[in-house]
Amino acid sequence: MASNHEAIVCRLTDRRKAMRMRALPAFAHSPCSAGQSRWRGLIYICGTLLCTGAQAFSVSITPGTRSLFLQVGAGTMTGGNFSSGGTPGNNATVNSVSVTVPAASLGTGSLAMNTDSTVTASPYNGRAFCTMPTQVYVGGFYRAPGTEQRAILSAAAPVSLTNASGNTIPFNRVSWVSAGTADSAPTIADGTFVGGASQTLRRIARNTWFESCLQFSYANTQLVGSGEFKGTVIYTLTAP
Amino acid sequence: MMMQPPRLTGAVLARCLLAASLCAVQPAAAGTARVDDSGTVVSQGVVPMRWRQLVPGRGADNSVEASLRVALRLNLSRWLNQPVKLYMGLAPVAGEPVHAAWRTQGRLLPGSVRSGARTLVFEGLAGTASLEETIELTLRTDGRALVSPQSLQFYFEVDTP
Repeated sequence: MASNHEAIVCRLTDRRKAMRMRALPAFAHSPCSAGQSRWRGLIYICGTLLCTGAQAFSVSITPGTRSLFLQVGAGTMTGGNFSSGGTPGNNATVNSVSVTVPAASLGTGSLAMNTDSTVTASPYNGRAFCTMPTQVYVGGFYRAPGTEQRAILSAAAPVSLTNASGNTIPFNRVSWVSAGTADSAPTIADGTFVGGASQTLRRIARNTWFESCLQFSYANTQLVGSGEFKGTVIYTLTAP
Repeated sequence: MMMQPPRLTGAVLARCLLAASLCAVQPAAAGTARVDDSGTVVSQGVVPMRWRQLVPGRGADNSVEASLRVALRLNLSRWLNQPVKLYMGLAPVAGEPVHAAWRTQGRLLPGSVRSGARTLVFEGLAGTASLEETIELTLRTDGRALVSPQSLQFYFEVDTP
């Protein structure tokens, strides 16, 4: 049986463009009163400027950009760890989590699953965090100015895992325990895939790095036909 | 009917020129006065602020910052050969404060200022009518609070004894 994991990066909406377009007409229409009084006003303004000169230089600053990053399993960074200025990049790798059930063990209870992910160090600061080959790294961040709500980390699994003969195993037979070396308060709670629907794993506070190591297990409570049962879980980080 | 702008009458123009000339020769008095910095040139009119850390830490560093170069030209003719204290100030801003720090080429003192305050950048005799200096200005504020473009107004003022 194999379960794949995939990183998804979502686009953010940008409301600032619309705001800027609405602001322009206010500058384009300058209300005028009688010409005489306007010219007198200009003369007095002219006199004031001659007297005092421009008394301030101005600098317009614009907000920091919004960004979103999610890494599940393998990831890419260049230039060191994230905390030391490394730059996160896209990585198309889809890692697997799998377990082989011996015939004698069919239906006898939970079995730990292994992964082909080799990520053991936290991409944030390089510290030893996840254990190979049992844990899958899940981490990222949501960065945004303003008072927007938290981003949502979710996972969507199909109803079941399927083999070539069309036999199925419900996806809710797969669970995970959240852990990590010296991680006393795991970010992502322990859980079980609901199967057939997206489920929220965590609400991510903006401007804060989050990370967990997920160790999966197969419940192994039923007798199933032989073969390789497959299903794909998609992890998504969604910003408001 | 088209409205034509009125011609400047001799009387109005004379008043304007008289007021300007009176200001130009006005002697410096004790107290605080703004400095004419109309010759100042800012390298970037609009400065995009960048998160200080590329990605936030577990401790959540929310600062944004940016740097720019400003070529200052301050008209000190009113205070020529007089003892002055010259300050650089940053007008108050709405919301979270903005911090500005600068390095100089030596004519003015390096320093920093918070919005709504001023900092001494020169003390001594005003030995030149036009003080020119280039500063590297670094701006920093809380990125969570900066949600739309904001205009920062810097100014210079002189305290005379």
